[in-house]
Amino acid sequence: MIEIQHLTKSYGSAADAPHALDDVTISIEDGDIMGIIGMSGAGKSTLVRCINLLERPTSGKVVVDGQDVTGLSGAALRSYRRRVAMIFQSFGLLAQKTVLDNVCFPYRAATGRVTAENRSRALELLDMVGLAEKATSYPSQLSGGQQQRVAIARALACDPEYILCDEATSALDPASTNVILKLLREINRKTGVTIIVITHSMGVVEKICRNVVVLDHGRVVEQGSVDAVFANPTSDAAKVLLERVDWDA
Amino acid sequence: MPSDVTLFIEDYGELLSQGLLDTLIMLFVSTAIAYVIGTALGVILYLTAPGSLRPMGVLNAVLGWVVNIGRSLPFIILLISLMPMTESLVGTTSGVRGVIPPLVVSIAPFVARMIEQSLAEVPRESVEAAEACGASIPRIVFSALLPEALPSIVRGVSITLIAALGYTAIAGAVGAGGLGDIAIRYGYYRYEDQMMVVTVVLLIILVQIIQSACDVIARKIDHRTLGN
Repeated sequence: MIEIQHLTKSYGSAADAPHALDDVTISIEDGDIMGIIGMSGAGKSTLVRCINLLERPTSGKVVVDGQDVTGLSGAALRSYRRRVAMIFQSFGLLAQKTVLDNVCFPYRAATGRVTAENRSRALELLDMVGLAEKATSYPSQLSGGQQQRVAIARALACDPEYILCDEATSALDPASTNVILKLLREINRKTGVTIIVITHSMGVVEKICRNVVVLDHGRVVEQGSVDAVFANPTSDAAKVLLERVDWDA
Repeated sequence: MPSDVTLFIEDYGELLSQGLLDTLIMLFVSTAIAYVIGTALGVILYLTAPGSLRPMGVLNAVLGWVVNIGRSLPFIILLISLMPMTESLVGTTSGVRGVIPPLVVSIAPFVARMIEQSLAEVPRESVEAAEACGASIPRIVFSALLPEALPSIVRGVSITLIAALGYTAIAGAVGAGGLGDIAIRYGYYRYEDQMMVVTVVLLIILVQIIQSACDVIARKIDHRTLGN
C-alpha cells in the first residue's frame, strides 16, 4: 500500500515559489488500478515521479507498506526502485540495444550482469506482450504501441509490486491505446500488481481504473471510485475532463 | 631516363614517409590519451550539470572553467608554457615524444565538451528509465549513457582528430617532426613548392580518410534508423 501524506513540491527556494503539488494526500490500496487525472500542469507527473523519487518532494512523505521511503538514498533507494517499475510516455527504451537487451536491462541494473535464467524470463515476458519474435529487433524497427509493450515487459522484469504509468498511452493511436490498456488490466488481474495510471484522458480512466484522483493546480480536488466520480463530478476540473461543460461557453 | 616523379620520390620519399608516420603517431597517441581524460571530464560535466543525475553546481562550474581555459589558450602558447612539465614527464621537449603532453592537454578539454554534448543528446526518458530501474550512476553511465551516445561520440572523434591534425602541424614548428614540420622547413623556408604541395595533399587525403572512416563506423553502429 502506498500512502502519500501531505506531499508538497515547489520549484525554487522562495517562500512564495509556485507549488507543483500542494498538500496532496492519497492512499493507494494493493492490487488497485488507480487513475490520477488532471489537465497539463496539474502536477500529476510530478506526483508520480515523487513516488519513485525521480523527484524529491519539498515536504510530506511517501510511505510504502508502512515504510517512509522519502529519505532513501544509495543502495536502499535503488532496491526500492526495483519494487516500483515505471512506464513512460515516449517509452524510454534504449535505442542502441535490442528488444531483448532492453527487457534484460533491469537485471543488469540490479546485479551488473544478465544470466541465462534472466534471458529466458525476459523472453517469457516478451511472449506475454506478444513480441517474442521481435527479441532481436531494435526499438526503431517497432511501432509506438510495440515499443510500449517492450517497455511493459521491461517493467515486469523485476516482478514489481507497483507499476507507475506516466501518460503511457498519450503518444499512441486509439487502437494501440486499447492494446496497452488491455495488457495492463490483464497483468493486474494475473499478478495482482498495483498500477498507478497518470493521464489526462477520462477514457483511459473509465476503461481500466477502479479509483480515481482528480488533480487541479497541484491539489486533490476530487477522489473516489471511478463509478462515483463519473456519475457525479463535483469539481470544475473533473467536469471539464468529463466534458460535462459547454466547451464554447 | 627517370621521370620527375621517380626522382622526387628518390629524393624525398623517405623524408615524407617518416613525416607521415610521425604525424600519425602524434595524432593517434595524443588523441587516444586525450579521450581517456576527456571522456572522464565530459561524463563528470554531464552528471554534475543542473538538473542532471548528480547536480553539483560548484564542481560543474569549476570544471567548466578549467575546460574553457584549456580551450582558450592558443596551442603554440600552451606548447611553450608547458615545456617544464613536458620535460619532467617524458624527458624531452622536442621530437614526437616531446609534443605529446601539450597535445594531450589541448585536445582533452575539446574532447570533454564533445563527450558532454553527445551524452546530452541521449533522450531524457531513456536515462530516467534506467534510473527508475534502480541502476546506480556508474551503471547508468556505462550500460546506458555511453552505449546510447556511441554513434555521436564516433562522429565527434572525426572532428577531434581533424582538429588535432591541425595542432600536430603547429607542433612541427618547434621541431616535433611530422608533415607540418616538412611543410614549414622545405615548403616555406626553402621555397620548395613541390614539397609544400605534396605535404598539403597528404594532409587533405588524411582528413578525408579520417572523416569517411568515422562516418562509416557511426552509421554501422547506429540503430536509431530503420534497416540497422
